[in-house]
Amino acid sequence: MKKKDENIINRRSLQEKIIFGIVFASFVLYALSLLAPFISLIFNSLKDGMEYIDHAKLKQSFYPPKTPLFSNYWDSLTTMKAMNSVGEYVYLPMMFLNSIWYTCLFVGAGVFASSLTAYVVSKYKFKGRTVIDGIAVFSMTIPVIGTTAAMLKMLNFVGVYNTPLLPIFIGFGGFGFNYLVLRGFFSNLSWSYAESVFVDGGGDLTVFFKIMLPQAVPCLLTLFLMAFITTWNDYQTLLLYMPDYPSLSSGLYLVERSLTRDPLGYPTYYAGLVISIIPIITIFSIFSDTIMANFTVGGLKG
Amino acid sequence: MVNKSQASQFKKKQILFVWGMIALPLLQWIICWFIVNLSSIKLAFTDARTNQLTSRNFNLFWEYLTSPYGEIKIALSNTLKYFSTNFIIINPISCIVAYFLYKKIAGYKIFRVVFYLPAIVSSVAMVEAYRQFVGPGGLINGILNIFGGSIPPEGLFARNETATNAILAYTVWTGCSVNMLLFMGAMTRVPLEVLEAAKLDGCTSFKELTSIILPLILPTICTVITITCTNVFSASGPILLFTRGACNTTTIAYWIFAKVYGDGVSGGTAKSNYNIVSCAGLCFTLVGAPLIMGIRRLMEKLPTAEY
Repeated sequence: MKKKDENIINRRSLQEKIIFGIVFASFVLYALSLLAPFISLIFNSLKDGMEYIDHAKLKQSFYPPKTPLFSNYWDSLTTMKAMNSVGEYVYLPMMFLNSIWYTCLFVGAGVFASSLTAYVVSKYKFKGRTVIDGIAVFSMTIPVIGTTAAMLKMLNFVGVYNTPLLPIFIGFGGFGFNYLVLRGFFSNLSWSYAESVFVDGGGDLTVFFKIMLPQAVPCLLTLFLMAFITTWNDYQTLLLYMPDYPSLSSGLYLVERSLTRDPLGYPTYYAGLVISIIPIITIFSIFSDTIMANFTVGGLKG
Repeated sequence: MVNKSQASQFKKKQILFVWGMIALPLLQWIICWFIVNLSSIKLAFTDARTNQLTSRNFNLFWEYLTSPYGEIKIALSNTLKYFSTNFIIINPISCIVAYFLYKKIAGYKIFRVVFYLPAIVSSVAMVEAYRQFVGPGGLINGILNIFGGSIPPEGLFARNETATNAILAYTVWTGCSVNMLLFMGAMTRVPLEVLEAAKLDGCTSFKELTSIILPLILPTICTVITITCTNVFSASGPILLFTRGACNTTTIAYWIFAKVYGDGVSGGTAKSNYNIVSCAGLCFTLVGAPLIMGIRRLMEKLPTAEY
């Protein structure tokens, strides 16, 4: 039935076919414009330093390399480095490791904390419930600007500035976008499961960890993946708050800053950029259906 | 039969459970939002040198905002350009692109993934790819040369006249991905029966979009508009990666970052700037908060269809 409906809906008149044809051509051009720079980036990552400079001078940066120099990729792994605040060098594999633990801690803490607050607010009636819900909505919608300096002071005061504890500390926020989505999700879950557990002598923790949380896994996974992509690519937070732990994004920015003194190093830098994209593209390829399928009105399915 | 004391014990356990669950996230909010905001307000009223209460930061802010080449004046002007671009260009384009993908235009599955690429790939890589693409040695210059045009030899990002526009073009080029997905998600929820009935009545695609789909996805449109307006003073491009604020490209968001980041050797070394940054932030928040509240009220009053 749904198939038949869709056939009727997608039936197009000649005029509409022409419009769709023009739009298709525009989409192809736009898609090419998005892909072409990456192809150019890959070409440049395979060039010899001198060849890269010659091509740039001749305005031929988008030309493929005469002989692809795959060793640039190995060089980027072994020689590309960023200096931290105490003058130590951090190499690309270390940046990769920093990206992994920082992203997992920050995102994991955020999603877990939101599941705690969203669950109790949606399933339990207690004094202060409306206040907590109000706090969540209020702090999300009021556009507070310029608190970076105060945050930096606070992190220094608490003692988590520039330490591996920072992603957990700033990530363990139980409110915001994740909270709203999970509150919607938990509200729609039946409470009868919980009642059965209580009858069997189980407690609230058992209900949460063994009954409710497993049902929320698809929703939690989507939230985790979306936040993972954003956090993996975030460079400003790490530059500001964790200067001694450069991730792939913040570290590559620091590497680029030093390249103006050594233009021959650009191909190796581009190889590093390509390497930095690979993990996130891989994750997206595996989970793209989950991410795409869970997007609906105002964000995610609740 | 459950007696009174058992019921009371059960209730106590529940209260303990509830506050046990909320305690840490609530504490985090109190420290990282509430106290940080109070501390930011205090910083705005504190002198950077003497640490005494003062209104000097506000005078300085006013000077930066009103003098002809004031940093904040340029930053505000550019920020409003980014906001307008988001509002007038990126949001409508995202909606139109989403409609054609929703209508399953040929190759829609591939387009959907490719158009989402800018949201996945790190800005550091995207910016570098774009800089090469539109640089003097890039493909765009190659195409322009065929038609007798050219990109200036120093590049678009090294000239006051072109730098901000080139970054604005970048934000349009990469800006549709997330909103496109939000709009598509909303369109997918429109009942097929409604569209089928309209089609049988001879409804054209244009009419279908303007008279059926757009009114039905109004809540999502309102959400996107509200989010865009919430970010009115934080609208920006990746200025740090393109120009580091040179060539009059600075925005409020970048100005705040740069003032706090300082020389960038190690994060947050510019402590003397903390007060003026907090002062500027407070002023923009005081302007932005009522504005966004008003817009939210307005959005809530719009009629929405239940389906």
